[in-house]
Amino acid sequence: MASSSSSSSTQVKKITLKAADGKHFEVEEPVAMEMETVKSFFVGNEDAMKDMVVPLLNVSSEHMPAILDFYRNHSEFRKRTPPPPAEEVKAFNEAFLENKSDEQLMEMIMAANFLNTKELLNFLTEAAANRIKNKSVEYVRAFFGIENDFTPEEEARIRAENEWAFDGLDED
Amino acid sequence: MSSIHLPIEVLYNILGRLPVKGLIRFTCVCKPWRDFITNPDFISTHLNLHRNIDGYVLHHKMASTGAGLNCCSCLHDKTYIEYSRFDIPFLYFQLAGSVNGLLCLSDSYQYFGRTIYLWNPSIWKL
Repeated sequence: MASSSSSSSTQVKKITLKAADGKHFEVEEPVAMEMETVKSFFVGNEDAMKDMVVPLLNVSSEHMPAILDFYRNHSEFRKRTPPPPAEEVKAFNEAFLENKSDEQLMEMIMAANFLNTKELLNFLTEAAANRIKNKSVEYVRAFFGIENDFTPEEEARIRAENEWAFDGLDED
Repeated sequence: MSSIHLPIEVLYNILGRLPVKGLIRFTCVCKPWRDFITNPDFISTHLNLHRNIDGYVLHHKMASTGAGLNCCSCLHDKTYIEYSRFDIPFLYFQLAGSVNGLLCLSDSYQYFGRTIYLWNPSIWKL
């Protein structure tokens, strides 16, 4: 795929991605290729299939704009010389997570996992870990939609054995 | 939130980033989490991810004569916040060595023979 864009290319090639609900997204090739799932779609048929629409069965269109925004910005950060100041990257990342509910964050993690896109997945799972690390067990169950399958006695025993781990938590 | 099926690699990615205190607490979220967190593969992955992040200082507090036990604390080397603590059942001890965050303490008072304790400060267990 690198050969097609080696000469003075003024126009960036676009790839069309189709979200689970059928909505289409036109994406610049380098951005789309950050996603291993998209990349592997073209392996072995590089140029012939560039006009095809790539179906992303597990990604809802709700999160596509944010995911693409993340990669457009981060690939721009990587290309820039000198590299952008750490505060600028941090500010972008913080703004990216702002106003995202726990549910939206988890849905995006599932999307990033399906798209097999390491940078975004690492960033989002770090955010999820930060949201739960000082929280109670009840909060975490609600966060992930997990049902407690311990009996009250079993749970009480684990808590009693590790009392120190339940001190000094943030409020839910 | 509705229940979502978390793929194992996602769980690895999230829980692997948590400090040990959080992990110990979350062993009582549900049985699959308990089994996941206490699995040796996960434990060694976690250890490798968090190696050499922080330094710690050991502080040995002698009990006043006859009353109570000696106490040994593990403090964070920059903030001096107590991170772990245990009561030593003997008067004098020496640090025999440490590896992978485990401390080996031995009774150094010769008349009492050789007692050895293995202490894992991060889970508060002897």
